[in-house]
Amino acid sequence: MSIIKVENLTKQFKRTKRKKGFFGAIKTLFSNEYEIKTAVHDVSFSVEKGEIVGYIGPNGAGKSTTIKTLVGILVPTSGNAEVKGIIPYQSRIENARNIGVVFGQRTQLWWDIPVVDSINLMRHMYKIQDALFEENMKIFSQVLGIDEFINTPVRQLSLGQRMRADLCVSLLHSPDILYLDEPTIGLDVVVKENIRNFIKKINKEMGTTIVLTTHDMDDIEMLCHRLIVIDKGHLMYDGDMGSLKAKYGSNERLTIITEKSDVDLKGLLALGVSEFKYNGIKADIQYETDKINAMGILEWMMQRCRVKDFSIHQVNIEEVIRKMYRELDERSKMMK
Amino acid sequence: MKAYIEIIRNSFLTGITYRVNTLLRIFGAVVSLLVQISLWYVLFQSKPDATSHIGAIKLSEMVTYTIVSTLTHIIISNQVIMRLDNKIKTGQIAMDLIKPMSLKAILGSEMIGTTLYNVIFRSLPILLIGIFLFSFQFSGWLNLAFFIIALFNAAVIFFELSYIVGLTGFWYTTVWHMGRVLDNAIRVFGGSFIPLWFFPESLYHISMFLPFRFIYYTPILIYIGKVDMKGVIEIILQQWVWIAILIIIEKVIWKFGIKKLVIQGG
Ligand SMILES: Nc1ncnc2c1ncn2[C@@H]1O[C@H](COP(=O)(O)OP(=O)(O)OP(=O)(O)O)[C@@H](O)[C@H]1O
Ligand SMILES: [Mg+2]
Repeated sequence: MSIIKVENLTKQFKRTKRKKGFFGAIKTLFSNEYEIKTAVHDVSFSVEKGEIVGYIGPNGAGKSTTIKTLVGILVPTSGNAEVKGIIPYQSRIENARNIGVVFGQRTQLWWDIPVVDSINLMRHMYKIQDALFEENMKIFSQVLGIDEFINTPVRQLSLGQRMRADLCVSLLHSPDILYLDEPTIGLDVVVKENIRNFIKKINKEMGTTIVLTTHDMDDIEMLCHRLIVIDKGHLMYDGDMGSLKAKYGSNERLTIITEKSDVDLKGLLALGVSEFKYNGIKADIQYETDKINAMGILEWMMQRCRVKDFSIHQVNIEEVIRKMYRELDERSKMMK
Repeated sequence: MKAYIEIIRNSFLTGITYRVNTLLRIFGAVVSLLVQISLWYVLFQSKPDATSHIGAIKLSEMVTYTIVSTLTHIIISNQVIMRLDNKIKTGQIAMDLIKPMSLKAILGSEMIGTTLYNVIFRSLPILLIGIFLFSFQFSGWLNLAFFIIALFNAAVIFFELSYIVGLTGFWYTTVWHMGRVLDNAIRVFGGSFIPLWFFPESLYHISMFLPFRFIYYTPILIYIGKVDMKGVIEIILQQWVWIAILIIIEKVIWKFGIKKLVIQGG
């Protein structure tokens, strides 16, 4: 039994067509012209209980739109979603009891008063039993360090503290499902690490199902067993991390710093380099690991100029996705 | 139930964090009260009383009307439209809609918290000024009791009206200007500055078909003692009818609006 089921979900937004310039703006006021923007297009997937799923894709892919539908605050144009047997946008309040939500750029804490007052409100709003409340608070103060700032008004918290407090209030009632929309946005390395560990712990110990959107490669690498990739509203990939990397991630990037020279790197293209940039000092070279390796490129370079420094970068998920998308795009063009 | 009390408490505490704001608003209310009363003094100067739809009006009654109207304004005022406008525009409304509680219950509880705060910190200075500076009339416990009931209904009517206007933001995204229209309609047809008893015949008739007069004019009539027992009961019953009508309208608007709502941002 899947805990989340999404079937042929499509969401379109209507946008008033804007015209350019001052008079255009006035015309816009009286015009009835709309353009339709399809944010999510015919997306289907399901999530099992206890999974951590990374829901990723470039900016504007439709991630937040999908999450909003799943939490019940957006009604789909067509298709349907079911969460724990409930249709979220039809039974929003019933659904709300089963879920916890963190939108990275928003807070559900009361802005002007101490964190503890928001916590108390949640306690009563979700009718949390005393025993559960105390147990959860103990965990949260241990792992998230809530105690440090529990009596501080929210507007005086740093972003990292606020995010920890937000995670705390969204999990107080031990929800079955946790939706995280960019939970690590704008946080420093240590806090990110902290939050990742916390998410892992929650998933392991409470069996919470987690759906996570992020642009942070490390988030995905450290948290997600499974990835769902979406772009321009279309589902691109649904499967585990390993096979995605194996399929599209045979790319590496090499950065080489040289003494000033005017070597033409075009010669590398024949050897399996797919892309390069060189300004006479710094070279950025991308290549397929199954055709050439870093040593090969370095040797080639050293024969032609003095190499001062170099570094090798594993391909990151953004690049994997970009590559994957490019391939899918080309394939669909060829079909035509 | 406890959740409501927590929200009321939180919004009361939020009010307290903005003390300077409170002081300024008290100051504003006092100035506005003084201006209005001076105006009535000037207008009444030569005459002992003025004629109206409901008989002669004495200056002291007019002064009392103005003070009670100012107090009413402080007590029933809510920021429902501004709040909704903001929540919809920024998409922050998402954070209310993910809670296992209706948006109306959340907004309503927030309003009660603010009202409590206003009653304690803002209406007291006005009451004191009214009693010590002007001949503010106490018109008996019975009138006061009925006035309080009518005032409560008035607050509900005003809340429902604001909520309905706020919900249209589900279609138009921004609604504060509609809030202005509502404010002005209430200012004119509710009789918050000029009692309906001084209205020209035509305006007076129009106002009879609108809910606005039940917010200021009729509750104040009860306080001043311008209506008899039968009139009081009628007013309260009519208020209830209006509340029922507004709730129905609100439910219909919600039903269609929630499907239209587009959460901004993300
Ligand atoms: N309220 C709206 N009105 C019109 N179009 C919208 C609205 N909200 C989103 N869109 C459009 O829908 C598409 C998907 O938006 P969405 O917020 O779901 O993207 P996302 O995947 O969350 O992106 P990001 O990573 O940048 O947060 C975008 O092209 C966006 O412009
Ligand atoms: Mg987003």
